[in-house]
Amino acid sequence: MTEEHPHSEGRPLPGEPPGRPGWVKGLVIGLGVVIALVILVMVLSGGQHGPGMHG
Amino acid sequence: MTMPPRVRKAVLAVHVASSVGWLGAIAAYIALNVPVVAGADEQLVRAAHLMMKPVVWYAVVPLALTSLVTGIVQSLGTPWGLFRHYWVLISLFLTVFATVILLLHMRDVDALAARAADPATDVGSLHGDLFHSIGGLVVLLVPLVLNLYKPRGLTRYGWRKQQEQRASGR
Repeated sequence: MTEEHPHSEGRPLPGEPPGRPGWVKGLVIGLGVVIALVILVMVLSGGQHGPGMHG
Repeated sequence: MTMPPRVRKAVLAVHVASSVGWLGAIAAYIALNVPVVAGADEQLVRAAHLMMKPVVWYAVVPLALTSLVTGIVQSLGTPWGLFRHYWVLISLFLTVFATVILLLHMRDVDALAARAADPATDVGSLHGDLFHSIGGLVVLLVPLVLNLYKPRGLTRYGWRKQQEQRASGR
C-alpha cells in the first residue's frame, strides 16, 4: 500500500463520476460464475460438502 | 485520520505477515489432506484429521482475523481509504467472506477431529477437507493479486471524496 500514492490516480477529473472499470466487471462476473458453480456442486452432491458428509 | 509513517509501516508489516501466513497455514492444512486423498494407512489418516484441528484453530483462524483487522486499519489510516478504490473494496469483501466461511466451518473441523479420534469410526468415512481449504486458498489469491497490482478504479464515493479534497485545496 505504500509503493503507490492513491492520488496518483487523480488526473484532472471530469465533471461526471467515473464508470466502473472493466477489470471490476470482469472480476465480478468471474466470481459470480465460480460461486454459481460451487452452489451447483453443493446441490448436486446433496447439499453436504463438509467433512461430516461421509459420517 | 492518516497514520504516521512509522506506525503505517508497522501495521503494514503485521498485515503482510499475517496475510502471507494465512496462505501458508492453508497450504499446511491442504498438505494434511494429501495422505487422506492418497489413501494412506489408517493411523496416518486419523493423525492427519486430528492435526487439522490445531492447525486451523492455532494458525489459520488467528492469522485470518489479524489479516482482516490490520487490513481495515491500514485502509482507514492511509489516503487509500476503505471504500474509495475498487481494489480495496473487493479485497475487503473477499477477506470478510473468507473469514466468515472459515469461522462457520470450524464446527465441521471439530466434528471431523472428534470422529477421527473415535476408534469406532470407520477410517474409510474420513475423507479430509479439501473443498474448503482449496476454495479458501483460491479466494484469497484474488486480494493478493489486487494488493500487488492495485488496479486503477475509483468508486463513486472515492471520486466524491477526491472532488471534495480538491475543492478544499488539500
